[in-house]
Amino acid sequence: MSERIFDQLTNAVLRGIQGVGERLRPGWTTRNKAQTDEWRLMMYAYNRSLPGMIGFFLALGFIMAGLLGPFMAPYKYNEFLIVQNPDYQLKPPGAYGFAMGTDFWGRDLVSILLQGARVSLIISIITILWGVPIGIILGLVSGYKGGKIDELIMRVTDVFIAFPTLVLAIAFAIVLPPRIVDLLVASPHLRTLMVWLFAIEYRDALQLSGILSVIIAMIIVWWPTYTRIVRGSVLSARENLFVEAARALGVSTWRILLKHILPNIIGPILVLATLDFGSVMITEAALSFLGLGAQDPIPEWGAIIYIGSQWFPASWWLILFPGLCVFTAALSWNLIGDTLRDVLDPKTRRSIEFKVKEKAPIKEEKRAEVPVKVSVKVPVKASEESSEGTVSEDAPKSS
Amino acid sequence: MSTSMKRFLIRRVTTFAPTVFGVIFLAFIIAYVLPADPARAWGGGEKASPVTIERIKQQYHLNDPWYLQFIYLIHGVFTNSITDPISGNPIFDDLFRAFPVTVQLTIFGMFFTLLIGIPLGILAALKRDTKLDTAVRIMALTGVATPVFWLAYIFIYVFFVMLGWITVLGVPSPSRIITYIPILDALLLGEFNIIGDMIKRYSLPGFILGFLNGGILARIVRNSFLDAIQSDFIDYAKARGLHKTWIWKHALKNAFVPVITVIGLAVGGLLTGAVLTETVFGLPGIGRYSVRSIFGFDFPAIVCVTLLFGLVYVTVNFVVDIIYAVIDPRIRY
Repeated sequence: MSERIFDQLTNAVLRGIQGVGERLRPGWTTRNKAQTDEWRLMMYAYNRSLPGMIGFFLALGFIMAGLLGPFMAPYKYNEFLIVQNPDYQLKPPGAYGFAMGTDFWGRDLVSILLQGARVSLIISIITILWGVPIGIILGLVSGYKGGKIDELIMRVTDVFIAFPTLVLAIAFAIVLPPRIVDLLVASPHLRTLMVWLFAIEYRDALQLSGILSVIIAMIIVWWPTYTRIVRGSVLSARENLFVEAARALGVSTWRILLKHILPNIIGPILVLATLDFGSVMITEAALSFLGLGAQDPIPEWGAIIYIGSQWFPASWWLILFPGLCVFTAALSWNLIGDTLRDVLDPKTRRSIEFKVKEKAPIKEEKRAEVPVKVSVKVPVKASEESSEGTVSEDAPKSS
Repeated sequence: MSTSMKRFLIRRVTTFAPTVFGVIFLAFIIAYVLPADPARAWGGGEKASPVTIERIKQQYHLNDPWYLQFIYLIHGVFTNSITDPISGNPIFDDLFRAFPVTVQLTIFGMFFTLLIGIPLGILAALKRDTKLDTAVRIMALTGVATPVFWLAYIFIYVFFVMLGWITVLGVPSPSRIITYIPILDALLLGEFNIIGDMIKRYSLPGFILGFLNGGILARIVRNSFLDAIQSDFIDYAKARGLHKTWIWKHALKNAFVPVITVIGLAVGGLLTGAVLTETVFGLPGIGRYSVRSIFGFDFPAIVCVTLLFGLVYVTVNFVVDIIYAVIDPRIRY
């Protein structure tokens, strides 16, 4: 039942993508039909995975908390209520109407957790958006070019992998802040951007140096895994006939790498990147637990656990709740990644579809109905709706 | 076999040597090049007096060009003449005092990892696509998603504060050092009360490490076991009517080839990566030593610790490669 709702949402999203494609380049829909049909099958399979859906909604909740949290919080992250009433210090959940208690400076734990969600969100997004592409590009070059370049890149990668992730990140995160402070002082634009990204007050801008160092440290630590994996898959992918054909046609190296090889190896990398969202959050929480990263008054989940650990075991709520936040957020990305692994792998995806067919054979008809209903609402896009009808019939057939 | 093995060993060593050199070089860059003013940082940051800074510059050759500094550093590493600015001891002396604690923690961690991972993995493979299989899958995901330090505090709260089953203070050690592995020494000397203390002290951190790594190991055991049991040679063995124990033996032997890699990597990870566990439980091992030296801006110590980490990693990989070549005759180098 609920699957049908998600399938409709899926169709709507895909129609949106097709609409944009059509607007940019006329004829996009028909040319990329095979591709979009494949996407539709993947998303249908994803909709049928309970862990995947749980992970999706948890992650959605985390992202919403990160985006809106700082503005919805009952207090500001730098509102030290201890100034109003010294009694507000380290109060357990429920006391004085603080739902989750207060920290050492009388800050409301709910508010700083919401602000911490923003900090975690931005850190993990920036780290993945930089670390993964760097790793992919180096891996592509290394695997495709071979020879001396390959040897050089792989030796450097080995050196980075030889270090324990956390120790290397700590080392970078501790030597970088003075240089980052110089950078922040010199560039008001960077300051404004960062203040806006992390939703903090302008006067706290220089306290961001720790967080920025952690981001840089984690990018430095994160790329080598991807380089290694991408290189391995490029080595086998470049032997394909279509690569040889492209080379014979005189297609440029970069075009071969990005258009012919990368789409064939992107599946496992996408899965790993999703899983790594969780790992980045845990590593970053660990770094700030050790006292790196977020500097007061900017809250961060790991840093709150550190504050709690100083009055442990009396201040259990300062450890339990932030830890649960890290755990839930990391778990959500892991659930998504684990489901994506099944969905992106054609072998296991077919098995998911088989199950759908066995359990509810009536679904085929129901699914075929969906586009008809839509076509009544949106009569303009008649061309796509016909393609959709065939897809939903194709879905069970291909399985 | 033996000549190809020899060639393989030589090739491995030649690729590992640049890695170790690179590790030292990277550590050197972190400690000497990246800090804006290393001498000031080592001397304690802003409050360092000019005299101290001058003395540190003299002692660690910071006025020389960078390549000379690097040569001095390598020379110091090999002669163990670099002293820790805080404790005043040669650094490798301090490191060898800390290493047994980490080895002990690794032993306990691996014990629990294997205890949880291998039986669960085999069970999950046998009862494939059942609730048990799903439970193992969720356990693996949970293990990856749990922050170690958080779980450590919760377990300390339950088992130390509430139940009082374990201790989190002191480091029980045997009266004499024989093998540098405390629990083995205590066993050899017959000091059973110390062994009891050790179990009380190390089993909780060990269990936490085992709990977090066990799920992943179980998943890998499950997958490789399924791969092995579905392969053609098992079908062939069954078709020939071989006894069940024989089939099991062949399946297990093949299934454990990938598992050994993972176990090797886990050992390497525990030997170098238990930084957080050691910090929370107050165990004076390598991880805590490295964190302490990093936070004390104790850069010569950082270089030496990272060198040790690099060596451990390289050695573990080397050993895994050799085990691989020995148990799997299909692998030729």
